[in-house]
Amino acid sequence: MGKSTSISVHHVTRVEGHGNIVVDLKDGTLTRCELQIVESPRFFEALLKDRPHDEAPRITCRICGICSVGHATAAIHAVEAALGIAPGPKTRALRRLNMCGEWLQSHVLHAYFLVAPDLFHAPSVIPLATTHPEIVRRALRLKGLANEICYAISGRHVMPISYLPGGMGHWPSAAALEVLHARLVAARADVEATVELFAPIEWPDFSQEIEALAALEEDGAYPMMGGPIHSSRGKVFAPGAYREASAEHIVDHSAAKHTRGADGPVRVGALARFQLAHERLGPAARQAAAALNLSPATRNPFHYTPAQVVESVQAFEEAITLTELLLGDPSPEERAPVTRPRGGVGVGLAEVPRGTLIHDYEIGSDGRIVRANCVIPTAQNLAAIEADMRAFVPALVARPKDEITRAMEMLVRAYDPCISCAVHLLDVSFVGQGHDGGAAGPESPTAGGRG
Amino acid sequence: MTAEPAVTVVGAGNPLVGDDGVGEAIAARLAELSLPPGARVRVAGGDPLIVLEELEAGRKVLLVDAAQFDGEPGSVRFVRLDRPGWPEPAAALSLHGFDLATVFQLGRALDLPLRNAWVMAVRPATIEAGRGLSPALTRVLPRLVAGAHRATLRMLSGLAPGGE
Repeated sequence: MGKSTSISVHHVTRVEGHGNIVVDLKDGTLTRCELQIVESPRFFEALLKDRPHDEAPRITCRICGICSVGHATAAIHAVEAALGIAPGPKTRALRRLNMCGEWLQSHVLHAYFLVAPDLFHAPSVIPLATTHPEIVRRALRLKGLANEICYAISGRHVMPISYLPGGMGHWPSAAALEVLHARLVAARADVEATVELFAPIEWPDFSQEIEALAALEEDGAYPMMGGPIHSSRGKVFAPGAYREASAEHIVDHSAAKHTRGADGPVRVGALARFQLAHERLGPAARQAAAALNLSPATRNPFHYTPAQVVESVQAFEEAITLTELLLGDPSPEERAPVTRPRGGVGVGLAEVPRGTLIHDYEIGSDGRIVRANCVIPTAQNLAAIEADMRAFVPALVARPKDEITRAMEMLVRAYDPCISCAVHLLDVSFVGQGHDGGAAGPESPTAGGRG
Repeated sequence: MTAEPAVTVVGAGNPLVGDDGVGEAIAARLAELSLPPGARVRVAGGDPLIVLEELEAGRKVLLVDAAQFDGEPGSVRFVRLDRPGWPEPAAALSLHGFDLATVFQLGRALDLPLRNAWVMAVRPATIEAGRGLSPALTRVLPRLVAGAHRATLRMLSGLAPGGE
């Protein structure tokens, strides 16, 4: 009689949002392996429809508290592309500095609060705070620093509302930049200690070649503020051709769409960026990569976390440089131009902590948004996560079930999925007169996740 | 005489989820008022860990958030963060899912002064997707802002926020 094993992790812990892992094995053969995204859809695009175009950053920054700067950035890029507006260098520097704050906050939280407990064999960050309080206190300090960057630049710690087409509605005073600069310089020891904390970690030995995508800036900067989408297969896609790089499609078991590249799943995020743009890193981030033994040749998804640590160093050092740049720039604040409503279509990209975020808007001649589509990094990574699960499970079948479960959770967690952001993409359909459309009908309450 | 610690008012919640945005709405209006030195306002979104950052920095905290409890929409309760009886943190610990019980447990593990943090809980009328507060909370918003302002002044004076 054959042996069947079924693993069902209801509600994967220490990821953002709600997802289940389902693995079925029969006679050692994998018959099912799914990451089920079960959160209710949140219909973000519907909230944009008919709204004035300049509200888009203020609305979309509320999609996610962790990625709020990224959503505001992609949204303003889409609006500016649609209207043919190019912001000035000071505006671009300010926005990049704000993004540095978000990267630092998000990466630090993932590495310290969600991954580190695994490394110290703690079930969560709370017992870790008891056994290693200095580690958790350092994480809180760095998170607070990242919040202060965002506060200085946009006037709010999260969910910025200062992004305007062609400019910014809030400019930091020289005094605020001086205070921020001093705080940044004083925090360097915490950043260095972060690298030291993760450097000795031996990550699970697993590798799989999957196409990597990242939007690389044309000025040679480390990818953060969008640009053409580069593939590890050597292709380059204009932002407007994003569907050729990462095409959305629906799968039965997920409330979030998946995407696929030309050859199948794609990876986006810190590991993909490091793979495609490691030579753009600054000296300190390169040293961190060396200390973490992170090679651009790696195809191990568990290396997302050390890649995030490298990017934390990059964001931190860039934040210091950009603050100095702004302090030394005597030119006046760049005011957002007054624009008359006109129609257009624009695609805006940003490299947010979890990967390439795409906002695609059509603006009507009255200046209101006619159509919106948001492609979220986590949705792009879902197919890669499942492909990795399918490749990873066969090597684990001889292990106890709880070990398999833990390993699968660690794998999913490595991608740092933001499920709350991703679950807005399901097309809802009803069959017949009665409600036969599954769990995603509009009657479903959608208050889950405050993002 | 020892000066009382400064106070940070933290508005939590998401305005895209109906009355869950009441914390941010109160914080935004409070920030427009004349607050005495020592008081500042932060918007937290879904990140109550900001409470711990402020406690770590030696400040008192008034966290304003929507919360379900018996009462009319718009009614208010003040709860000190170190009160006994917080449930165990949610099993599904996530950045989006840090609840106050988790914040409490984490703060206790780090030996932070949780007695200096209060929650101003506001009973919502509706928590569902959609922009803007419900008519019920929109009507009472000026009263809620005045209540938060009064609570801030009381905390700056070393008093509990909810007394008369």
